[in-house]
Amino acid sequence: MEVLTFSDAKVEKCMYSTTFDPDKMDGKVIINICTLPVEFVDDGLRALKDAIYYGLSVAPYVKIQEEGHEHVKFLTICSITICGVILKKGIPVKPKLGGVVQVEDGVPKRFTDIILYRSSTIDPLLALLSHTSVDNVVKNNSGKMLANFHEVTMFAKNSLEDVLEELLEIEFSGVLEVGEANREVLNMAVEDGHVGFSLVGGTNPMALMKERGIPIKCNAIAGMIEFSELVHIDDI
Amino acid sequence: MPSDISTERKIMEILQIMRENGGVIGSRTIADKLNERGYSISERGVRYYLNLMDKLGLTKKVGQVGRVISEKGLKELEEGFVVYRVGFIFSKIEELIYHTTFDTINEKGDVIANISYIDKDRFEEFVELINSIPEYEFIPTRRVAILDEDDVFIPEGKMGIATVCSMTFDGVLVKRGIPVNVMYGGVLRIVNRSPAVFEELMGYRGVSMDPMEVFLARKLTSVSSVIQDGEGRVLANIREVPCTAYEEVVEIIKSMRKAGITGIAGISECGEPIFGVSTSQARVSIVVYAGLNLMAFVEEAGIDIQVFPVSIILNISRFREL
Repeated sequence: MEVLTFSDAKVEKCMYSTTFDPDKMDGKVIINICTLPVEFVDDGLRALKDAIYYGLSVAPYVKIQEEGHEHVKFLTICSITICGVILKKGIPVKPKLGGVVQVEDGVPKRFTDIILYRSSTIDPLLALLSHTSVDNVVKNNSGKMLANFHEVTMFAKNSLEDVLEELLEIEFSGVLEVGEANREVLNMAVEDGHVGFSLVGGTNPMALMKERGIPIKCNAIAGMIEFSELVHIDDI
Repeated sequence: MPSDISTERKIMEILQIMRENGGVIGSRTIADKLNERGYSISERGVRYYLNLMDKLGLTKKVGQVGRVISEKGLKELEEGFVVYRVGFIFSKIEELIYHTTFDTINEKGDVIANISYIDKDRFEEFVELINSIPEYEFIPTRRVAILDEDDVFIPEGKMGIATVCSMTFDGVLVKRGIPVNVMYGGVLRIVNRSPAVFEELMGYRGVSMDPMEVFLARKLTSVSSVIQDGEGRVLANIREVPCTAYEEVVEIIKSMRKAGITGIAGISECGEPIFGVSTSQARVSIVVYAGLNLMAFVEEAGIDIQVFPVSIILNISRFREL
């Protein structure tokens, strides 16, 4: 019988498979998939755009494809892609946890619930899908969103910032906060000798759809896709 | 909240003490309880923190010296202090295991209980529903306890209902001198009325909320279809004990069964996997069905429930069939 594996193993496998090069804008990225009934596509697209334009996504690139006659699939970029890019630049990065972040007046304040990747077989950001109020964030600038948290050695802080800067130039803007060495980030302590950083969870658009009553099925860290297959949300 | 870690930690401890105490409490009692928890602090020191907490709206002054925890304080305990809460789930389990006194021979003593809240006006429906369940191993007992204000805070319009928590088993093991490591909560697939394989797991040491709460919120159970067709998903948890304790554990399981507490899904061979989950070296894994399967069944039937797993200690005499 196959032995059940925890999320950290899945996350590391996908980071290893990431080949996306921000400079050439090609290579493989990690995706989340959500499936919805065809009659909800307009509502789903509205939610997806609301989340992306507010900055509650990893990057504004998506793929929409039909799934039989009755369903449509939204493919969006998973935040672990950013960890994959950081890793491929030679920076050892440790994905640590996913959680719920409280936002007040548009500012992310603190994690209010967390699940460690190594402790859960369900992806933390899927497990916490029903604990958000993303719609409140979008409409009133305050609420609860999904985010994750990772660590690199403190000596890599400058390189980390360079990579994140490079990603920002191509609209991979899903970085919530980068900490200082040995300092907590959004109330989350880091291990000795490390810098913590928090990324916007790629499943926030799904949380928003769920909150708006759209019946969706989600799969986080669902697989890999060539970046060239995605289109900019403005072109949809 | 103050950003200073040690201040934050003390505020959290004080709020916890106040919540557990329920009602009005004085700085003297708080100081005593903080000292029990390893914080050497004077009554005067406690008053300093209480004043700060009043200003933050976490507590309210009552009379000359008393304080009560405010709504905001209760909310802060749920949402704040996330780093400590990761360890807190585990400390809470250990505390309750330590306080378990259930005696399987005389069927007396205290057990660990889960708390669930349901709307008062759906109580009759609830009773009918749980009485419709036939005896099944994965629902360890149909006995429940109705809670009152002396046990826990009960929100307006709600009823508090306790079910026997599967961690009671761990309490009994520890009282017999067997070292127990509580490992995971999980979703276990049942095939042909028998446990087959775990589909999801969450470690008790890496989460800020109870795994069972997450599984229930994600609606991952299908207890009703297990009852009907013998196939579906139920909640269960896993603990490890030394292989050398195997025979004594089997004895204890028998005596618990006699005392009316059942629900063991399986025991692994020494160091071997069970239901698709690996076991540490020189240990056996014991899989126990969660007491909350009863509430999962009720929720599947459309009665909204708010669940707080592994919550309090209750005397076994409080539990009865409704």
